Amino acid sequence: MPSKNEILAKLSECVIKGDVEGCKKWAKTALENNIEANEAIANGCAEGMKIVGDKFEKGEYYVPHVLLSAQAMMAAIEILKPYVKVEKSEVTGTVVLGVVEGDIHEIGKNLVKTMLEAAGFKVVDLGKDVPLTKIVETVKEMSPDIVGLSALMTTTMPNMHKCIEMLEKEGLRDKIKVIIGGAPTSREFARKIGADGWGEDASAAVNLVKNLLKPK
Amino acid sequence: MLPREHLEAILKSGKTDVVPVMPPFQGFWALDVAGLTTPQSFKDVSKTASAQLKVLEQCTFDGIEVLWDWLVPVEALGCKVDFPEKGNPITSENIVKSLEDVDKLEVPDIRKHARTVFDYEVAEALRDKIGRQHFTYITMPSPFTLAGELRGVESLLVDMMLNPADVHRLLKFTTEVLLEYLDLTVEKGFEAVFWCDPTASGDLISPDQFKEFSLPYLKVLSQKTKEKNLWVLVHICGDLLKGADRLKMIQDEVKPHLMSVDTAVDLLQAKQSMDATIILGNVSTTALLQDTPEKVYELSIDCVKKAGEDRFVLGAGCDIPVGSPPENVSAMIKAARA
Ligand code: B12
Ligand SMILES: [Zn+2]
Repeated sequence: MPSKNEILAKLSECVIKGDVEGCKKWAKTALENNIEANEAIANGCAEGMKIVGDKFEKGEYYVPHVLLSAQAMMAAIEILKPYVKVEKSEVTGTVVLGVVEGDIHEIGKNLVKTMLEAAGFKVVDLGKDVPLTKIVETVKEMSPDIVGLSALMTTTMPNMHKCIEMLEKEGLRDKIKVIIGGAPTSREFARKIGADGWGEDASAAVNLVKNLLKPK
Repeated sequence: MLPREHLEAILKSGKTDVVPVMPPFQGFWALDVAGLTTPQSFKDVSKTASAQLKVLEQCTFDGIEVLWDWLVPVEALGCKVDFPEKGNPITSENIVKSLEDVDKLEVPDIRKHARTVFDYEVAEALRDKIGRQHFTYITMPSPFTLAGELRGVESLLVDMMLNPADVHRLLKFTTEVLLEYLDLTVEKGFEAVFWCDPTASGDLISPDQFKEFSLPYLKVLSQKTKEKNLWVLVHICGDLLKGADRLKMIQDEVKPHLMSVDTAVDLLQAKQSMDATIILGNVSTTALLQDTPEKVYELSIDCVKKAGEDRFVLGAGCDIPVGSPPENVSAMIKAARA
């Protein structure tokens, strides 16, 4: 019988290789061996995806590979998700997440979503190329705790600013926290447009949300 | 010498006494400057043509695209398309939902497709008006980029790794469709085609994938375009020198007359990699959108200095972004004339 570390390493390896079937198999094996789903996601899947990200940064991997790995990871997460334990002691809350209008880059947002869900937050995923009016409407209807905006292009970054302005106009800005992310954004930019926080990657996003929701 | 003569001279001999300027892609930006929304721009041929001309009076390029609605084949093939207020129509439904659908695809009769007919009427109107003085061209996607629109870029990229044979069948099909557009372009008497392959960006696919899925089909189009005695211009986004020298591959295989490179590409290296090709580039599109005319001027001068005088046309690294101040675009032209 494989050890826990072996199983997690296999899961990570299958994510790195973009092996969808392998991911499914090792996710099941993990559950059969009583490995916590949370741990399998964090130390197996996400770990693998992090390495994929590093390889991408180094120019070793190209986008098709990243996409395939993301698919493999999602296949494993699909199997693990029903078994995810939400830690009661942790802060909880609802996050509305979306990639702003004009921008279809959603891989990063999806990772943020997965990690937030694994950390026990409820995520309302509006998808990609989301009209700003739809974001505002969703805030009105669902009164989430946090709105997370993603943009991957310099040309769509201004839409984050616009979205915050629209929330202000509707008198909704004070009721929620707005966080932003995506490769071309920065802490500086977040401050400039009046967001409450910026996250460099998916785990930073989780910490950010935890901190913002911590009872004062 | 007329503006177009500078471009002809450089295309023929690599030399001319001034630095020619081409946007290279101004269409949707110019419509917006002239106050015409994208949906409005498909209504009235003469209004749409006039909108371009109005902007060109201010920004006097030596050559321009007279057909900028480059993703029109997507609609002709039956995909649903969204028309935003500004910028190019966006494919909203991919017709190749599964790879089995590839076999069901049929080459459409593009001469009966209303938007195609309209676009070519605009192009002819513009060419008839300014074609004697200015170099004019038709902008079209490459087979690879068109395949991405039909299948969805993400799916296509994954298919390339899992089902390459199906991807090649799809690429053969998109090549056929684009040859129809080439025929129409020839029939209407245009002088050049700008084949664009943004999805083959150096930031998106590996050099090996580029060699396998983009180059061979671009080569077919380039050869056919040349057979018809039209100029072949090619644009690909992103850094084409990272990891491998894709520019050299393009010169060896595709052999375009002119290659338009993105801001990420080093111009001097581009000229060395493509030592028998005219290079167009590569003023930062971010600067055009966000910086001052002074900064754009400075960046343009840098490009000219770096590229040297021969075999060079000044222009932006990619589409002129919608929303760029005309003063910034003019600054690029001013720099070429300095
Ligand atoms: C993959 C990709 C694509 C894929 C997208 C697939 C998909 N479904 O997402 C496809 C092929 C479809 C694509 C298309 C295009 N792309 Co593209 N693409 C990329 C690429 C290579 C990688 C992006 C990515 O997925 N990164 C990996 C993820 C994991 O990282 P991430 O998104 O940054 O997310 C992390 C953090 O930022 C953070 N985060 C993200 N969101 C959020 C949100 C919150 C709230 C928080 C806290 C944190 C957070 O956490 C994430 C996980 O760690 C980049 C290049 C690059 N180097 O970034 C270009 C890039 C973004 N694309 C670019 C362009 C131009 C395009 C196109 C316009 C190309 C074209 N001419 O046709 C099109 C269409 C774009 C449109 N309308 O939106 C440009 C943008 C240039 C600019 N203006 O800024 C880039 C920079 C490439 C380039 N240099 O030219 N692209
Ligand atoms: Zn480009």
